[in-house]
Amino acid sequence: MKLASPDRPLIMRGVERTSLGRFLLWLVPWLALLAFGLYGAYLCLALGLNQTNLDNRFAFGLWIFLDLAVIALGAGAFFTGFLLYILRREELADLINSAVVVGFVCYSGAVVILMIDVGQPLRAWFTFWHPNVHSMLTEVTFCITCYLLVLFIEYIPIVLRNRRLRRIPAFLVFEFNLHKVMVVFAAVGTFLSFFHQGSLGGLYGVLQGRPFAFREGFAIWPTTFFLFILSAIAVGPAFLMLVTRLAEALTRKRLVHPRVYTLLGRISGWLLVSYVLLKSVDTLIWLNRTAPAVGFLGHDFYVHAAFGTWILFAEIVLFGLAPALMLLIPRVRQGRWAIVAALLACFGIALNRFVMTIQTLSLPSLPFDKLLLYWPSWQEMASFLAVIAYAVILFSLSYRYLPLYPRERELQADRDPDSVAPRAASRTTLAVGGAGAGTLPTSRR
Amino acid sequence: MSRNTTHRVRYGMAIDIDRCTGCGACMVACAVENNVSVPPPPAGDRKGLTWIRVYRLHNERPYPESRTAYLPLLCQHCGHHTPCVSVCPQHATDIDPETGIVSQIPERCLGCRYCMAACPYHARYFTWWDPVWPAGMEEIFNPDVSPRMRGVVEKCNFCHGRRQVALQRAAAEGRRQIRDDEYRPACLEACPVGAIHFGNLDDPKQELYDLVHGERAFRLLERLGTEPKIYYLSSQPWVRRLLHNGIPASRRHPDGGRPDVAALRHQQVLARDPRAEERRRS
Amino acid sequence: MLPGIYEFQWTLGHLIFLGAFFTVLGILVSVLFVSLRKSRIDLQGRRAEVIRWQQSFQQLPADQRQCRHALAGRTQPRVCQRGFACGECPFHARLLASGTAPRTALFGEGSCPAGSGDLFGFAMPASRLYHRGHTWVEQRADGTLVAGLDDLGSRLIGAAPQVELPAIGTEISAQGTGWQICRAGADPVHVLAPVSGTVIATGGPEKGWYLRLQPVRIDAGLEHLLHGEEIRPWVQAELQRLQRRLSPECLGPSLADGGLPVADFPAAYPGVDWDTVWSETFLTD
Repeated sequence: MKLASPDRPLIMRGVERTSLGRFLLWLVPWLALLAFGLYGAYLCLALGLNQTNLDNRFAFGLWIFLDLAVIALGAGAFFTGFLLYILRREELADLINSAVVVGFVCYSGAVVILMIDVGQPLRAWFTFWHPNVHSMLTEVTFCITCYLLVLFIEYIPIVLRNRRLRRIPAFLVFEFNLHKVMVVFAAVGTFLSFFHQGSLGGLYGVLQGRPFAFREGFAIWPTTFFLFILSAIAVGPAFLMLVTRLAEALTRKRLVHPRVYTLLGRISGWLLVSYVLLKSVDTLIWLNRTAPAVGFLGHDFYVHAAFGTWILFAEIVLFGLAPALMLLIPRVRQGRWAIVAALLACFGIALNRFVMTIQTLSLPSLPFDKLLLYWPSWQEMASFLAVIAYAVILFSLSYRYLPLYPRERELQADRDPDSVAPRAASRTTLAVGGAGAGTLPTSRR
Repeated sequence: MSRNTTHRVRYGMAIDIDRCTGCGACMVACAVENNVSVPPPPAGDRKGLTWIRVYRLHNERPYPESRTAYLPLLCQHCGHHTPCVSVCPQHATDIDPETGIVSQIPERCLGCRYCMAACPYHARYFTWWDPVWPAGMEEIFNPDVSPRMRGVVEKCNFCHGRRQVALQRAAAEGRRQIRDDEYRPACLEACPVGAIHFGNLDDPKQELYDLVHGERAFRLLERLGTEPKIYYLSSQPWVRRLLHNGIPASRRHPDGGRPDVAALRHQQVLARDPRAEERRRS
Repeated sequence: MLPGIYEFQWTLGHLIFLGAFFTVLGILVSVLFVSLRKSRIDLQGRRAEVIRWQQSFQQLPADQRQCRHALAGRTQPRVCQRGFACGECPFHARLLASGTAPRTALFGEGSCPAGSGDLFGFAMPASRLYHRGHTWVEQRADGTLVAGLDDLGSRLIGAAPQVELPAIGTEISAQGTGWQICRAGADPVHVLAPVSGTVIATGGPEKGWYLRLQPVRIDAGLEHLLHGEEIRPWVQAELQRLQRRLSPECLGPSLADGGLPVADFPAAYPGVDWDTVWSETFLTD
């Protein structure tokens, strides 16, 4: 008998996992980072937010910026669910479980950071008791809470699919029944995500007192509402692509069928192009109409050395248009450059969130005021690193013990040198009958 | 919040920049009146706690043309689309329709600081530290104002505690309303040069009414359209140019039509270089 | 502000916002509640085994889901979509009606060829009916059924396994767990029950492990079992699959050279992930 890891009974059948020792070794640095970050977070909670470098002018800082970025990147979860369960893009079944886990770690991490960020975390429930329905933040709070619940519910069946847990009939049956109604959760998740992604943008767009962020819009929603939704769903698939590629590189395995990347790239590319287009139009309207109407010239925003017009160029062209065009060219999309394009796109969205949060606050609004800069304290950075560590640990554990990539086993078998052709790829092709199986693209290297 | 009220006032203030000497008595009086805690030394001017902050303005010119002025900046009690009130997720800040006073409810405040990001005047302050006072200062707390806990936002409320006291006294005397001289903020009383004027902006009989409708009056960031209720008074051209935010004095209420970009640009050039106009003419 | 809170007022904004929020929350909670309730009903109705089989079947690769008629060469390659429940399959019924496929041979009809049933070196008597999970069934004259692990299956498990048979009186259902086999140091293997019935007797190691069952249905419910000419192509396909799995380089238990298969596969192939091979062979997860 092959010498098996002590945790082999917990690992899905037919997939290769590294030994328990190596896995624990991989976790050690992340656990150390988590412990360090938790200490930083503890300081912030115990001693107060004076532990941060936030101040009365920089009311929002690193945390809010990264929360917004992480939530945008986590949009892949709801968008994949939408494409799979509602639009029936079955090829995404390869990836949906990992998308849910990515979404869950992103959102739960962001919510945890928010709880440290507010001065009185124990009063978080007040928003539900005294909601100001005119505030974008109320909408964000309601939607993110609900959506985190949705992600949690979507995570349950993945956990219950663990080989050991499935043996317990109650878990097996619950997983089965939950999976049957997943389309409802996907639909609700889509609805909620649209609103909170948008409201996160609206958070800044409605700031009439901050001409750099203020935008006109439709009804109660400023244009940033729509731009945030569009950018989030454009970059969500790109981020999933990156995570999956990274997982494939680290495990040296093929985890999803290559056509999944092609699909994600194409979706991301088209959405990014439309985002860049609308963002450009919005920027022009803002510079020439919205800002002057409240007494500011577009020029005023870019006179400071730290935030020159280069940041506008970087956001829209370098990290927007460039990756969008790259993803639209089929040859690039299918090649290794797709990773670069996805990376650029993710960076571009992070830059956009940075501009909306940090640059908005650092630009002076009073005529006698100066540009103000801020550098986060180690406690702030550590708290966020803890979230990164938490994300890596949870994803690693999920990858090891749960069926994150349902087709991993099949793709693994396909790579066996003597594998024969009749191995149909998915349920859709199976319906045609076994005869069609041979015509599928083979993933043998 | 449209409650039927028989008596509506719109409290406001006029601060004469030309009179202000920057002594800071208003800041001290405010802190004492409102039991504002004293943050430890690392606070500095970025994490400090004060409900009224005196800024120093300078015309950025060398001697002998060098000029300095002081600007006490407090909550502007914006009357239209009040930025902080509209963004607070849990109604922890509110504008009282009876008085127009924007108040903060620290017991309900989550400390999310969204209102601080929304406020263009940076007139809101966060309690970064647990509230502490120099030894013995608790003995002279104002019993009409409750101190705030750590992790909430606080700000000027026109010494709301004083208004409550005045209302109680009036009620005890059988009156339903307070007289004008019964309620005045602490900063006004402390100002040694009488630079601060306070009253009902809607009452033409008051001195304040004439001041805010005079030629010397203007407001900060008027074009944002938030209708602040703090007016500043100055006759010095460089101060007016600096603080006007490029708004023609004649147009106090922008009509919301297409912005006059050319005029705005011209105003800005003037604000940066007051001599440009003269040079162009000559 | 909610009703009952100081200064609360209903406005259109409140109606829309709170309405949407509580609708969403209501949907989430009620859907969750419905799933929990259905799970409870399923558990009480002992549907866990049925669901387990459905899921295991869904995860089988296509070549293991080939229709029995395709295996026997009666039709084009065809992938089963019904969890091998031929009794419910209209295609199966059509072939039976047209006479293309013979009916399941029951005891006493005399259609079973005699003999040891040597197939590629494995003892697979054609007098037995076979389940795709490598179990066999024999019908006795008194109407009871006998079920056991087939030769290929037992050799794959290897020597001296610990077998846990269900207690007498237990009701087992087809495609549910029949019994468990555990080889030292490995996870127990669940063997699928080939038919439904009540256990009335069991056989221990000396007589070969078997179950004697009283069938639940009057016709014994044997339509889904392989028989006659279907057995050979099925075993052949299984051997090909195992060959790929056990020795990808094609050097393994070469069947063409006429050698006899070993009695204890795990001992002969220690480097193989047997846990996976068993789950694939016995169609359990």
